[in-house]
Amino acid sequence: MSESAQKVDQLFDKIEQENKAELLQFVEGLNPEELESLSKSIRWYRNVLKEIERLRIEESSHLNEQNNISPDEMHEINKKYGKRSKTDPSKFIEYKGIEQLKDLVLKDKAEKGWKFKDEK
Amino acid sequence: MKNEDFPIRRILFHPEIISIDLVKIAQEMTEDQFDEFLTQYDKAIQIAMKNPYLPNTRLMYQLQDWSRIDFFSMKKPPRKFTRDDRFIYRYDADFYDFFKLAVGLRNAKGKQGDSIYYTAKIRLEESPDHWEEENDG
Repeated sequence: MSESAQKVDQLFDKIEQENKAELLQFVEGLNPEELESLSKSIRWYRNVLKEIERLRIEESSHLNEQNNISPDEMHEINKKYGKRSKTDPSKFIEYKGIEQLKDLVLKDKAEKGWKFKDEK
Repeated sequence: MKNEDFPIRRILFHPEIISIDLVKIAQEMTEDQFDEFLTQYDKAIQIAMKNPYLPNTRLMYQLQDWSRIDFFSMKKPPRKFTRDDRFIYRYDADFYDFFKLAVGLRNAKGKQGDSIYYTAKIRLEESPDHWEEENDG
């Protein structure tokens, strides 16, 4: 493994371990040459990730040939929810059942004043 | 729910399922219809949780890790109607979390969209017979 690949590996290790102090210590310990080398390696990693992404899309397209969802609907779903899908998982709420959903909807109703169709 | 093939630790939903999706759906329904819709929605979730990798559910492009299941918003849909709603989910096989991203009308166009209640109303006016129970799956 080259020196820069080792650095990238170490960086990934620090991030994976979620140890902020060690991560900062590692970054602060990098000299300009190492940083430049790391930067080049990261660009290479990104290109690899892009290629993996491209292959996954190709695979999805292949799967979609047998999928009963129309291209129009696929486009519509992406347009509507693509951005939403990037939400950090920590922002999601734990589901406890239908009653919870109904309670939250009724809470929203009370706050905003909208009505069900059969209400006057 | 115990599922040895696809264990689920937590079920999580996006906040906009409440503030946007369900609020929009609720305003197009009576409260009884909405209660029925929630039951149907929950059934669809149970199906997806039993096997998150059902055929013909995978999405692509920005949503390539996500899947969707179509379902009827009413328990007894008119014959030959297609499923009018869909919900979008993702199973995280590493952490055993089941994420619910969105629920809404399929092919929604304008205010009424293709709501089964709207279409059923129109069709019922045209042909008041021919209602039957739809089996899940």
